[in-house]
Amino acid sequence: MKSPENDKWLDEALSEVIGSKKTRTDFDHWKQRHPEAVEMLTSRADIEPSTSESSLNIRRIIMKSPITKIAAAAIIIVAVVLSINIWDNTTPVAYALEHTIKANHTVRYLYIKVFKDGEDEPKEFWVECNESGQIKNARLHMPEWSSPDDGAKVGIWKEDKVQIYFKRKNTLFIAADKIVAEGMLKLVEECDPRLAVENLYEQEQQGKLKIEIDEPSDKAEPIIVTATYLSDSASPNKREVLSVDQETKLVTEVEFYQLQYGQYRYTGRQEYYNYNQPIETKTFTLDEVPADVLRIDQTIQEVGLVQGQLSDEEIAIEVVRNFFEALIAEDYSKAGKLLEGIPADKMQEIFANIKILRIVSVGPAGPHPIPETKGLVVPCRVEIEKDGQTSLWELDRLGVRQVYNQPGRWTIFGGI
Amino acid sequence: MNLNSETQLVKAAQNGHLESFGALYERYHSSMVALAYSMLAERDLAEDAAQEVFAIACCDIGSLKSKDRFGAWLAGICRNVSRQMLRANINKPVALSKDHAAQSREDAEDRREAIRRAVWSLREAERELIVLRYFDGFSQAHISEVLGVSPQAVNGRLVRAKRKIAEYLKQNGLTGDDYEKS
Repeated sequence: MKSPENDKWLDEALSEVIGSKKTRTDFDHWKQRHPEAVEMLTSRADIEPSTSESSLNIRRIIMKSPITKIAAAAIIIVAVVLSINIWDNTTPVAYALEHTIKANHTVRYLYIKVFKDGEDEPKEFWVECNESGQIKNARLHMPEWSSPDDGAKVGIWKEDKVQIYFKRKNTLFIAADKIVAEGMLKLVEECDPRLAVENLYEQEQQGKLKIEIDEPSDKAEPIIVTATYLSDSASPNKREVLSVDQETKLVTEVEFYQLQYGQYRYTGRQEYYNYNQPIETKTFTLDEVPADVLRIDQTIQEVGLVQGQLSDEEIAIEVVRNFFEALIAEDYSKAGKLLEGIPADKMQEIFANIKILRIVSVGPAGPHPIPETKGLVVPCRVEIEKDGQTSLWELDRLGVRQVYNQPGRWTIFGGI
Repeated sequence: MNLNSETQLVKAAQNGHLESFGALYERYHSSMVALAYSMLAERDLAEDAAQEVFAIACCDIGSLKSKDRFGAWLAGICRNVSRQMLRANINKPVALSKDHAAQSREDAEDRREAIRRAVWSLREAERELIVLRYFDGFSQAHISEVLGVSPQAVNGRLVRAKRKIAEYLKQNGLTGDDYEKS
């Protein structure tokens, strides 16, 4: 196959398919269709000092002049030529982030450890990339501290499919969904040294951080790159210190610091190992889960309720109501399908000692406190019987959302 | 691009100068249509989205603090508007009909469909980049203004996104040689 950057065919194909016709840009037409917006903008002139109209007109006339355009182009060309000359003359061999960005193109395998200050156990990531450098397979080990709600977990990512084993709950969750897959991929990408270096490079170009490079004469010693975020950047008070292998130009470690009381305090580090040492295929499977694991496989069964014509809030309430009605009727199969697809026998086990007597109230539905879940919260109260005693069970954080990869179906999530 | 000029246009528009807003409209309208198209995959919807983007921008321009980042600010509005339109059309297929290829037996049309599928199989950020690049032939400098990243990063990401497309097409039996023969 011809490579895209050396070949015109892909450019032609993409231009043909995407760039089918020119866009019609007509501000006068837009103004006619949006008189209220226009009025809102022009009314600002009453409260703000106005910029000289004539000077703007002159600038526009000048910039539209062909001679000006040619002159401007000439200046740009001269500037580019000058900058190339300056670059060539002053930095022929010195290390720069671009060297690592280039070296990163060769990365196919990588093992990463992420340490947080005060915690012994690291997060671990095994990453396999394809020939283009895109992540093809990933495995994650997330320790207890990384997610106190879920506990420690192991995850496998491959394209749009994820498997997550929740150790504490002895539950294996399987889903084929872009949103879940992208969420997990994001976890991997957050510690991908290739993206980290590109990000630093971009921020430096935008003047948002200061880069200092210490390149020791002893080639066995790593190059130390200190990136200090400036006050107007997205992460002010943050500093990253990268160790870069002098021979390969690949990053071997990044340390993170936060400015507190005038001192940069260490907050954690990421260590990168085994660049391009092939990882065994079985690493990217979850064969080691216990035989008695609770398996919730959303790729092989329909889960939740169909939304139909109901609004998001209405369907969320309907799911919760149906769930408790199923429990009252002791229909554990139906209840399990409304709780992410938990098998009926497991539901029966969970509710062996609790009998749901009646629904006292359900709703109203509101936004979930964790926006990333893209779900709603449905507060509800039910009367239950436990150990011969009747009591009121109040659930104020019962989450409901769309089922992964099953558009139009909604389920309770996150346990009850 | 003349950064000063754009900053001044934004400042003037913030002061209620409609002609300056018009100049910004002319500069960015086409790229907003492209950006919306990358999410909505329908030309007419994308045109509508772009109209709405400028209506919102026209009303809210006073809230823009970083006057040198007008393009990126506008792109943020565009993404929100497009997402709202996607949600409003939630029961409608977003990008491509599944049986289109089966209906269209013509080789050339199949190839076009394969390329569209390759583009819409990319992640959102990559798709934005590809569509902006090929929709109206925007320069890397203009794309960098809209996406708020450096031109170098635009270049690197374009190469990677194109590699992904080429790989997708290869897996689906379409190479440069096939394309050139068609």
